[in-house]
Amino acid sequence: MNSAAAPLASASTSGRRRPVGARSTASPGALPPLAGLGVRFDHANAWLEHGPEVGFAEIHAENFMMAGGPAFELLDAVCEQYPLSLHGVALSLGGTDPLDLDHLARLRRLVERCQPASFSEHLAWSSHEGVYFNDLLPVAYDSPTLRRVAEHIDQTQEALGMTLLLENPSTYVEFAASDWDEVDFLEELARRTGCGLLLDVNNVVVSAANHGFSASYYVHRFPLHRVGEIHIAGHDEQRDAAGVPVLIDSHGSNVAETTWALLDQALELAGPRPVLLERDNDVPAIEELRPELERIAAALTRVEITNALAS
Amino acid sequence: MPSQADFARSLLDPDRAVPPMIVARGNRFDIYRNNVLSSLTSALACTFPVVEKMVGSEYFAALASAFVRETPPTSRILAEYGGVFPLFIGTFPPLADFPYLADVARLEWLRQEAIRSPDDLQRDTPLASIEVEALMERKLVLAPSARLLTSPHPVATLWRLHQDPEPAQPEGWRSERVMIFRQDRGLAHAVLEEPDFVFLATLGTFETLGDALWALQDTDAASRALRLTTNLYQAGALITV
Repeated sequence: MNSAAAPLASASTSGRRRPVGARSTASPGALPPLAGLGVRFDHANAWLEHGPEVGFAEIHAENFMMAGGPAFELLDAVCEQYPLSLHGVALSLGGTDPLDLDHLARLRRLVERCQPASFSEHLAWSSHEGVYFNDLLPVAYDSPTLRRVAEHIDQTQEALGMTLLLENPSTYVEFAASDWDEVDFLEELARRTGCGLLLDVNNVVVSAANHGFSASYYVHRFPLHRVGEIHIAGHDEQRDAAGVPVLIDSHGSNVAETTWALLDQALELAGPRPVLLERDNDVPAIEELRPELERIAAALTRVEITNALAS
Repeated sequence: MPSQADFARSLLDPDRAVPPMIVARGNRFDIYRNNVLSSLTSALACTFPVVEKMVGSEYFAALASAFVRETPPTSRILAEYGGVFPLFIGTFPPLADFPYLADVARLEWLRQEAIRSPDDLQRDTPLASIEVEALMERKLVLAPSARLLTSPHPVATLWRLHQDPEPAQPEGWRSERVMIFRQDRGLAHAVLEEPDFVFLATLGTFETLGDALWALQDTDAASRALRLTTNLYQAGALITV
């Protein structure tokens, strides 16, 4: 580790990877307020042999819903050594279809196996009439959607026996029917269901650029006391058919400076939170992600110091 | 209320109009169309890497797109998507001159099934300690991960050669029968002669290994089958029940 940077996970005498000094906060969920990293099969050997120095691990639930095999060996090894953030991508909470009960049962079995510190899902839909689109598709912010998503969150929390963190989306289009503001919509869902929120600062940057609102004001208004985890990732910039720049939530490149600035703002307002570095495409070796993990850790340390001086 | 059905139908159909409830600007709905198609074709490329290598990535993307539009996933687990892709390849008119492609795809699908299949929970007896005599009295079946495939093409050889960045041509072209099974953290193939394949395919219908060997009614065939059985048993491809 670069000695000039703040530690990603404090050294421990009892186990080298289990971070100590992870103070519990008032936030929902039990992940430590440290830098975390997603477990990718490409990195399986690194996780199995010399687990990376991170404060928590994250898995995509749908990648570990098999009957058996070596992926469970990876999962069990990760769960034994790190607090786990279980992240669902296919529950389709925003769908007009009823929740897929088979899928929910598989999710429940996974929760029982790995006992995650937190479970998160998206304000989005991905299935319709039984067809799975494998994308996080947008919902209208209106009253029927609010009722439907709240029911789906209730049903999920009951089935899993734990509260979930609901993630703000990145979107490319808006709906004529939307008569709620996105932040208000998320806050109302949290109020109705008791769920926590997951703030993805890259999603804020992407949606703000695509729809012409202020990312900073969005974070300022976000109910940060409900935030149990923060995501940060890279995006791509393209031009749409009208020649207007559009940001794509690609998770395939380094985090943009505007997104780092938004992370700093969110942490200053919210205090230390678990921060996950997301990298799902063009995934490099873990060592190449280390500078970004260290930058997250440095941002968390800055906030802890600021808070300590203020109190 | 906005209709997700409209949105959903337009996603996989490029000729269908953008759903009316969208605040449309700069064809941004196409971003969703691209995301859906590219993520699903990428998922197929993960499951069928040798097919992709054989046809080239550009052709594969077009082939997979045609399949996605005709048969989108119904499972939310991408590793479970593509079970009928081999059938699609086998009946795809432009690929009629490459009949082996569908069987290579079948092999890749069986590998995908095998790596995710249930663990063999009985696998705690030290194999060396099993006496052949004791094994003769036991019923033997395929391990949960084991799959059998028979093809008029050298399907396992083609698969193996395409693990090389510069794949060689197979020497000669003959039918192959292969057993796929999990071993350690990976997968193994056993290429089988026809009598061995038939023996393994029917082994599970006999009450004991002894009965299965007796049914061969030929001493040479029986000793050959016994060697095969003990080897595959030790490799974890066969289990006792």
